[in-house]
Amino acid sequence: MRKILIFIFVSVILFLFTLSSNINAAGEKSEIQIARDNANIFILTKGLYINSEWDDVILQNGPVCYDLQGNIIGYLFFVVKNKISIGYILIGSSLYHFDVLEAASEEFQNIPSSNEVKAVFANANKYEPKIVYAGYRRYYALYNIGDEKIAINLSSHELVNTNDLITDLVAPNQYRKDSIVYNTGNTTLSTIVSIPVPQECMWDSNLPPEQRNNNNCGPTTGAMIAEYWKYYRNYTYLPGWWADETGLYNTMYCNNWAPFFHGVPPWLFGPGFVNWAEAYGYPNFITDWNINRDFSIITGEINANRPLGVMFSYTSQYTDWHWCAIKGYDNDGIVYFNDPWNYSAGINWNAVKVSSVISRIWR
Amino acid sequence: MRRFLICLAWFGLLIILAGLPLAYSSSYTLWSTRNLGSGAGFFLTAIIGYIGCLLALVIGFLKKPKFFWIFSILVGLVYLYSFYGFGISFRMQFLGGLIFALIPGIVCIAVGFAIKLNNK
Repeated sequence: MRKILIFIFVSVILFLFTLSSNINAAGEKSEIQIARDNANIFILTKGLYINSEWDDVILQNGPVCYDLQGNIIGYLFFVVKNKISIGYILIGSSLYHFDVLEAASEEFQNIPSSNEVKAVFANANKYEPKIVYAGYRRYYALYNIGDEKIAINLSSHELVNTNDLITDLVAPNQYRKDSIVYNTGNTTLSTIVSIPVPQECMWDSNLPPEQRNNNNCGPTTGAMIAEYWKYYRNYTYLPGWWADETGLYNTMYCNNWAPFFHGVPPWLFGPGFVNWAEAYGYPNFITDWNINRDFSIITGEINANRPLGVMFSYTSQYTDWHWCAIKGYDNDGIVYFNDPWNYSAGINWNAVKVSSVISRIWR
Repeated sequence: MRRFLICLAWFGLLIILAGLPLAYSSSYTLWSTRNLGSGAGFFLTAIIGYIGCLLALVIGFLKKPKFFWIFSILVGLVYLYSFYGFGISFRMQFLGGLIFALIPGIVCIAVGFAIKLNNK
């Protein structure tokens, strides 16, 4: 009798415990659920600004992403269409206010297969890595092998010494600290302002080989901006894509810079464009550039139908020293841009603004 | 006055070091992507390097602070290494720029040795 009573008592306790945790689970969404909801809202409201193919897509859960200290900093979701992955979205964890940290219309970097890992380390822990996110497009698979930690760069599949890993991502306590918006998961639809800047590629086979193989993102960004002015602002005498990208390459890069170093410096991006446009009968374009610009500079220019050049530089979350064309923004602080690497992308401006160069061009 | 000048010489080395993250970041990008949209980082490091080098070495050579020579050599080596990105993406057209950029590091090393030899 006593045993039966104890059994009933334990059963009741277990039942109540299970019930309470179920109620809790039903009442509060887990972090990953909030992140997934935000990813879905992002796809529905802004997906087409990332890529015109992002309609009728579904989200597939990807790996959880960690920082170098082992904190969960985000959740990765693969954007799948017709069973093919066509992009990915990284939603920040609560540390990053469930913001969209990355959205890119390219397949996510391959996580090394078990066989690949086995070939290198016989005793890696079941070959299940932690994915470390170290800034835009920089993902590492982190394996524990005994007491050692080994990292593999997911884009190159090269081994990286974990001591050499440096993160570009701003620390949680620095992230959006000047923002009064704190998203608790009850997301609201945001307003997007975007202009149709054509997407071009710096590797385009129409370009002369010495050009397309030669740090060509600055001139290609200039050409995307020029195309917008040509087709949407009626500056019809400006040449279309690749017809005279060489001209931009010359004014922004070769004539001034190539004897010294790679690429287009910020102080020649705008002036190069201005000189080039003048040669086509459009004098009086004006330009300026600066770092750590306010978000209002971007909103002001886009509202006035003027795309901007951005050079992500040291400590930015995006690829360092790389030029892209800004084409839009939303009220969550996301900046949409065309990356001449050949895709469109969006990134949270607060995460990259400090050292990024913003170049305005207007007339 | 002598103490002030010695401080200025050490400050010159610090200036050189302060400019290095730009070149390291450029090299990292170049190494990992084989591309660099802007060489502004290398350029700025070189300019900062020239300013620091002038300050550090002229005064350092005249006043010869203790241990200055060894730090001068170390800073020079770290400076030269910061341009490692060129190793993967070098073209002859960059030769002039590379030499221009490396001069502060080479001078730091040379002057470091010169001070050491002079002290003997």
